[in-house]
Amino acid sequence: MAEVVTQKAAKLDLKVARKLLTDGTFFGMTRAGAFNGFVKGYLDRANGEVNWEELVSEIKELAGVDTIGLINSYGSASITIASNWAKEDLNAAMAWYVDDSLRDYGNSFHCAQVASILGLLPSSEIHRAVDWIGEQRDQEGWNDIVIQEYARHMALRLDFLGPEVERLLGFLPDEMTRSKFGDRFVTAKNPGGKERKFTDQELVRLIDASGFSDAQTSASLRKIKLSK
Amino acid sequence: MILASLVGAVVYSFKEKPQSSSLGISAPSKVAPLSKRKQAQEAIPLSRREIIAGLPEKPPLYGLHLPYNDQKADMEVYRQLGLIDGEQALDFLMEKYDAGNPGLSYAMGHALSGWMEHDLKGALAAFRGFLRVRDGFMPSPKDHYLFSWKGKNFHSGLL
Repeated sequence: MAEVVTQKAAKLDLKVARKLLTDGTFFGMTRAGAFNGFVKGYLDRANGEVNWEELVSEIKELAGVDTIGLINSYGSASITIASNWAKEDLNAAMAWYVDDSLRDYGNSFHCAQVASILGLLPSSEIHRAVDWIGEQRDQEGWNDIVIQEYARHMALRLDFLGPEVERLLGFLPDEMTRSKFGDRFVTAKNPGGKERKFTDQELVRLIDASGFSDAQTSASLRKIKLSK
Repeated sequence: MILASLVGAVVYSFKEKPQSSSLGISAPSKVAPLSKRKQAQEAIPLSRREIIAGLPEKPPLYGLHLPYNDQKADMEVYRQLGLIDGEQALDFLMEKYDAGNPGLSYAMGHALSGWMEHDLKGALAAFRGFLRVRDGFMPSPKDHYLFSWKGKNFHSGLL
């Protein structure tokens, strides 16, 4: 509720919305949601013309925190900023979210946060997320959990399995992690949760691209059959 | 279901308007100037009866970042209800739904956002009366109600 209200307030009148965030109306759980709403309303109002550094600076000032504090204590607001910024400039958004806030790929929660930002890119922009992962995975400290978490988002968002899914699969080094990646898509259901989302043909093609041993291929094909 | 909704719509249409001043909320201005209110009504395609009939049986819970399209449609129905009826829309939702349902606060929030479009000051004054727990912590583990509307507590919906 706090999020919906501050979003509309920011869209209608930024001055009123700023006052709402700083006059002591929100505490605890409602405060984080209120800040996320403010960011969404600010973006609605900006209508595509956003100065991202200015927005980050304003939110930090309103919350009275630095970048690390913003990302740790206002998780949804910072993901809203980063995911929308990423649609415009993925590298700048990720540099802010990952580097400036000292995200640690050794922390699986941080990996999930990074994947959720990539997962909010439009389906047509998936190649940019995969490019970014391809560049990052050579960096020291990289953790393939980001890929596994991103696959979860892809399984939710995609309507069909395209070549970018296979390219992402190719980043994973061993049969076990590739099998786990494939399972995300085999078990994905359509909204409503009853029917499998992806077709036999798409899933078999993914298995073919996995470079599995004969035993793993048989096991994966069996999973596809059973998941109908 | 449709019959029940229509009956509900008729009952709702003829319900006596509550007096906010006697109900302990910060005095929101209940009615926007006629011309502004009329403009808002003219801008929306649905009648009150259609809006009421289109309300979900239970208020849905929304994802933080990626609501499904049908959830977006629900949000729009609640917004339109608030746009037309302001404070009364919130009274109606409190009566219609179970106060323990975690989706109620989202429905109330979207109705309030509609109200904000024609009476920002009044709607925000009422919103300040929603927040029940000033320090953000629940009074006891058994009490998970963070919000209140005219003396009736309802589920926090977490956000």
